Amino acid sequence: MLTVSNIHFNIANKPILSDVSFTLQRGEVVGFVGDNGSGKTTTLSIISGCMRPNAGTISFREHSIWDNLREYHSNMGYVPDRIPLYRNASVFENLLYSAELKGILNPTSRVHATLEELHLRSIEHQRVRTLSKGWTQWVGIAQAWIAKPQLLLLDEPTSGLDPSGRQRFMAWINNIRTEGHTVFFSSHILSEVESVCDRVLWLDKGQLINKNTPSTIQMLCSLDKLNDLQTLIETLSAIDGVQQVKTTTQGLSVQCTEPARTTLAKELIPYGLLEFRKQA
Amino acid sequence: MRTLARCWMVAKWTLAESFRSWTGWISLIGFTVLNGLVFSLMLWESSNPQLAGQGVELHRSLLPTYFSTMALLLLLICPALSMNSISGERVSNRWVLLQTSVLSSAELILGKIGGLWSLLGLLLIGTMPLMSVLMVYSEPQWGRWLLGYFAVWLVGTLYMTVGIWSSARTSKPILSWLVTTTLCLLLWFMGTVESLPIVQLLSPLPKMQELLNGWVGLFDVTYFVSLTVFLLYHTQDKLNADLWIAQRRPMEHRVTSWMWLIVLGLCLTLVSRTDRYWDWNSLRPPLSEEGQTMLSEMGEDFRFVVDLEPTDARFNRTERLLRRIPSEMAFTLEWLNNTTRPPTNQRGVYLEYKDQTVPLTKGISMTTFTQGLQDLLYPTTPVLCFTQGGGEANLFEALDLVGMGLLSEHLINNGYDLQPIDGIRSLDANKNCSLVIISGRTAPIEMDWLNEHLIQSSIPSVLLIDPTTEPIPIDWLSNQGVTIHDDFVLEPNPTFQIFGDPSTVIFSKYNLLQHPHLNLDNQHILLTAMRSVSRNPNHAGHLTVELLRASPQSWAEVNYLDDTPTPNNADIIGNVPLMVEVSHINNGEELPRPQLIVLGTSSLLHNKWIQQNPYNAQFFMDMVKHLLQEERPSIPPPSDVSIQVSTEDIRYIGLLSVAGIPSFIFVLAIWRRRQ
Repeated sequence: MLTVSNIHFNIANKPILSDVSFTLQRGEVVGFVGDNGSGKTTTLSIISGCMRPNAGTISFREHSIWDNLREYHSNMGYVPDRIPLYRNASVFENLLYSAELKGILNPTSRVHATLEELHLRSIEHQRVRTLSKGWTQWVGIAQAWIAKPQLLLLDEPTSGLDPSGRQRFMAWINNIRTEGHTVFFSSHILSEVESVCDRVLWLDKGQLINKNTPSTIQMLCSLDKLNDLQTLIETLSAIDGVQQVKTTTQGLSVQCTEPARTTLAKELIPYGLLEFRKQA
Repeated sequence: MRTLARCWMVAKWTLAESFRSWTGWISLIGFTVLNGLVFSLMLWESSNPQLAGQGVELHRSLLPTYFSTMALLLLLICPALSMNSISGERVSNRWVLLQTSVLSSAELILGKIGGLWSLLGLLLIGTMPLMSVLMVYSEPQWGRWLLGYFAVWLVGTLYMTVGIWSSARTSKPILSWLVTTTLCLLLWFMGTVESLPIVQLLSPLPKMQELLNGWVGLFDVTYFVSLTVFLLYHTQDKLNADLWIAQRRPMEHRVTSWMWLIVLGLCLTLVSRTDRYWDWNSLRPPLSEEGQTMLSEMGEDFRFVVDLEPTDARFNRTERLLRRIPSEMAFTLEWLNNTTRPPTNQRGVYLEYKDQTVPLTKGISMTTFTQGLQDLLYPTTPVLCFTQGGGEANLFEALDLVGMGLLSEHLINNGYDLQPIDGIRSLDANKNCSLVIISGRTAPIEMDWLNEHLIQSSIPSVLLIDPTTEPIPIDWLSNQGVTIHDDFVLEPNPTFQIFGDPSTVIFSKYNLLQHPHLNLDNQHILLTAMRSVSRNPNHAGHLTVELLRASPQSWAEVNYLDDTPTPNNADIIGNVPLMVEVSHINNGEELPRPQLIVLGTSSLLHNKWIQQNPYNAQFFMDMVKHLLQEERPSIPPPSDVSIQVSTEDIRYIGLLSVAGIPSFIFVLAIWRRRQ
């Protein structure tokens, strides 16, 4: 649904993002993990259409987002790191304005539905400035969700949420995933990312360093017979669940899912399998 | 339509957001208080007893000043209201919400500025109850005060636009406020630089003043619209540019603002060439019948030559003057340019007829134009004959260009010949006098001479009576319908006294009751030792008019030698008459010519007073012109409605405007915020 290709982003010749590429599929929940300053917020900001990269393209439903930004924004919700709310307005007013900004035809009924869905009825008439950080975060999420967008971009959405709030959030994410919405969210907390995400993107100093799902493993395979490795690599790559095969000095390093491990071992035995272990 | 709906949605929110916090309410209350204060002070002037019951002219004086001050107040408020429009959104990260909406940057900007303009509209609406006060006490022209509001609104929208423009350029609201205030002040002061017309052209101030004077100029309105559009375009362009934080925008994304500037410049030039004006001021005089007669007489031999650059402030005035001349009048109009203008020509406007040229040096107006026509058609030089000897230092004894010397120079520069008359008693003083001025004559005045020259030869004259003149030609003046009293006019109000002397008075519109054809609006005259001069309204054969009366508190003291004079029954008390004009009524003459002006003092031409106060000389010049029938042959401007409010009422109005309306808004704010 969303394809990010070769994004480069520099400020004053200092690279912030380098060659970042990934795709998000419909109904997929993808985590985005990285250290502080690794470029997560910048990436989200670029994907949301708030900034232009130096190079690279972002396609939504196979069209560049820049060619029809209005269409893209009507299908995208974004919760930035600092929630963009009008502090003197009530929760209801904020959501109504967001709905109008998203071009929703019947904004009032949609606001009521969102308030129900996210259990915000109790605070709908409160001014935002009187809310706790956790409630403010929920209002920010509601604001991004107001148009029920196909793609939801969340920057540290659970910061400020208490444990029960986090659980409720995870449950809600699972729920909207089943409805076919795509969620891309950044977080520092790996466990919560792994608990809900189909896969995680790791960003380090502006580069995606690994594209793993939480259930994939890296197997190190030491082989006695190292001839005709090319045929072996082709064979292994064809196995369902094997994602990547690389040669090492002692044999191969294979990235695969857990179930594929048995099939993988069977294929490797004829090549004199000396060692078959999970990489730490 | 959808674009408009989106803009309106943002505008509504922007407006509502101002009133969610105290910002909007405080601005509204503050503006209403300040504006109410200005309004009350202006009305206070109308209730000033020094105005001697004349009040303040509504459309010429009160409304333009009121609206100009209102625009100045907005200069303080608008930058504060607009500073947060973009930079505030950036600071609070709410700009992301707007960026990820379905609105384009242009729609966002239009919505934002729409909200600010609506807020400005509310500020102005808050002042409208004060207009009802004007309706109660006077009859304001709807068009004029609506035009006043339109002018102020245009200036306010420009301030707001500058505000949003600067707000888009920074993330610091305070910096935005500083930049906006500085730029708006600069634009304002540019309008005061009369020596640099091109600088003045860029300022909104002269445009606003034109509107306040009832001129709706296409160029002026285009100026506001184009400057606003340009600034808004530039703001939107800046926001689009901000997306390209990482790199310079590619050329295909840049329709440069300079190109827009050039396009707008071209549009302005075109509009200025096809300049159109609509006059909403019914108080402006058209070309008088006398002027039209003179113009018809000269026909196409008369050339109206304009040698001015379009940027010259006089250029527009000339255009407007020409528009007020009826189109059926045939004459030659010539606009000089660089190829047709003589190399020696001073830039200006020239009237030419039969090898004579009259430059309009005293301003370009219907009055100067008509005077110019008169100068061309009747190029004779009037001779002013002054009495010699005794009394005030006379014209011919003054050597330096001060006092009487200055007056003498002034009279000569205005095309008069000056002649002395040695002795009024001698009948050989036939100098072809156009006008005789008898000032401070201490020697006896021969009645026969007066009769022969002033009555039989119908030479107009000015008689400035010195209290020491002996004998005063009382009988002769009585025959003309004028009575000179043996008294001294005293002014008890110390504000108007000079050196604390009640007989030495500074007269101005505040303490003079003046005849409508005098124009002392901005002048004041210094007089001392005045005798009261009154008219006999029932005198046959003469039409007499009292031209000046002193303040209502003044009186003419008969027992002036008393140490502590007090008004009593023998004195004339209140509005003492000071100056009388006499016209001889001749059968067959519809309007009798003014023949004689009698002033109860010769101190008008006192060397010292003329030196201290140039308006004494100016007033004398006006008197001369009036008697020579040279004063504006055009119809005098239609009289403006005046407003006068009693001191008692002004208290209530002040209370209403400074406290009542703001309090109402305050209560509204409390009620609204509790909801």
